[in-house]
Amino acid sequence: LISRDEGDQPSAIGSTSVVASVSGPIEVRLNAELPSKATLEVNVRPLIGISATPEKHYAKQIRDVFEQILILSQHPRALVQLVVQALSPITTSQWNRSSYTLASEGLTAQSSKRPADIANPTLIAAMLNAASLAFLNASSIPMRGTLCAVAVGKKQSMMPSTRSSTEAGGLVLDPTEDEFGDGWGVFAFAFGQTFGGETKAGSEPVWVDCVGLSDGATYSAAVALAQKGANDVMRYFREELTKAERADIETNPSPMDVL
Amino acid sequence: MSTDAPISAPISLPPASASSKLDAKTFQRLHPRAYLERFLSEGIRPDGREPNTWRDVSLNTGSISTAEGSALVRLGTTTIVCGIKAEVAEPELGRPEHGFIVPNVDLSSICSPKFKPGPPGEEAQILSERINAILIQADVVPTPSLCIHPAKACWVLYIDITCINYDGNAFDACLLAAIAALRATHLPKPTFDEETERVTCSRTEKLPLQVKCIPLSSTFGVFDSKHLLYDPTAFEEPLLETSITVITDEKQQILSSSQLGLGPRGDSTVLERCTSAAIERRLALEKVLNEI
Repeated sequence: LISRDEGDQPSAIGSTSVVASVSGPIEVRLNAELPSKATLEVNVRPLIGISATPEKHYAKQIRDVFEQILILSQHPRALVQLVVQALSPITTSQWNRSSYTLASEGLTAQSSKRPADIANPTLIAAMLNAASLAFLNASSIPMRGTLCAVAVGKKQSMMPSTRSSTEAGGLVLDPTEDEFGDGWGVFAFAFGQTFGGETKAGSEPVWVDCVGLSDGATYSAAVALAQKGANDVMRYFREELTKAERADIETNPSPMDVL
Repeated sequence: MSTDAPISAPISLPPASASSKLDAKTFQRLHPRAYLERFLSEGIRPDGREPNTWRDVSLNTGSISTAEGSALVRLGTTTIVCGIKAEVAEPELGRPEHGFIVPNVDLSSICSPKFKPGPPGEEAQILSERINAILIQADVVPTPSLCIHPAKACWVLYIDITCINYDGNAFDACLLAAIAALRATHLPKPTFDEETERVTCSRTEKLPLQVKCIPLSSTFGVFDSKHLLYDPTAFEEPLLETSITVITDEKQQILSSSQLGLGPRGDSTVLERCTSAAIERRLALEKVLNEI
């Protein structure tokens, strides 16, 4: 843990990883100052290259959901800054480029059917989780609930199934590169009193971005699978934060801590 | 989202007089949330529509003669122009049989006082990104069809979308303009000369562009955790907590749907309602597209 005002948290889902850091409430530039609440600024940095339009899009998505989750009216005229650094490539074509020789051998018929440049859905889920953990770690801005996001992928029907525990009817949690060919969805759930439960995901996702989950039945199945995943993510958050809290007390004992 | 205006107790207005029209406009500027709330409590929106009504769409193509394809879309008063220019380029090393599609959305300062002159602002960048994502994901113009000669020459299609008047819901209008312009695009027939390795384009023969998929989008907004508003205007947009967009294809399947934020409180069917509304809306949009 760094200092009272800042939080840093790495978050990894499968092989996708992201680091998020929160600073705030801190001094705000005059032109960004809001009289009744804190200004939330989100910066997303990619692994490869400089921040461009895809990163702006991710930043807006993260900002949209956190503007509602955070109680910003508690800190008017201040700035809350969230910086998210991706530690994994954003698009599958960047993955392909890094293993160029494999790609040029016509990476099998199925990927030539899919356009090469699909953004990795587990990345936005990892970003949302990292941001959530960072806000919890910082503990300086009150939140309405804890946000947990998961990605669900729909495999192309010809592929053999390699996983059974996180699968339901062709849908897979935390899909790997070849598991979201036919469709994917990223669902974020909020845990908290206003959302119906501290340990169980609320019945509806607070944030959804999905592609190709074309009919109602597939969508409902994806949401149900995502809820189970979100419960697991929440459990992981609780464990990690409890461990971090204990470690902090051990290294920085103060007369007020009762072990 | 912009600043929250404080919600005040009922304001005591001066007695009704010739200046009562000015008072309403002043009220709208000073207390936009309260203004919108009052309208919605009567079941109507400031522009006279009901919460579940769409604005009228009109579409023209071919207005830009120097472009390979063009379209002008009016969604209510939101006006978007799209021009398609084609250029010949060398394909990427790793993808020798694919051409390029480069969409770009420009929200210049002429369309709204919200946008300052200078480099593209955040909203323009995000719109460009979203249009790019849907064009790639739906495979609207398959990039292999833009190949002229493998590894030597291919078409680059620049899809330039400019907003002339911004009154909300730019994404729906931009996507419609891009699709209409692509369908109206004709590329000159290219011939690749093996010896000189140059491409010559015919002045007379033109081939229509193959458009494989026709994604059309519908955007909704949620206000005050209660009201679902279809096709928000520029006045309503900054006041909405949540925006929902559903994109459908010509087989009435949902290509993509996104809900950015919480839905109306206590309503778990909001995405389904939006999906069915989007499918209905599609029929009206397809009629407009096919009249061209």
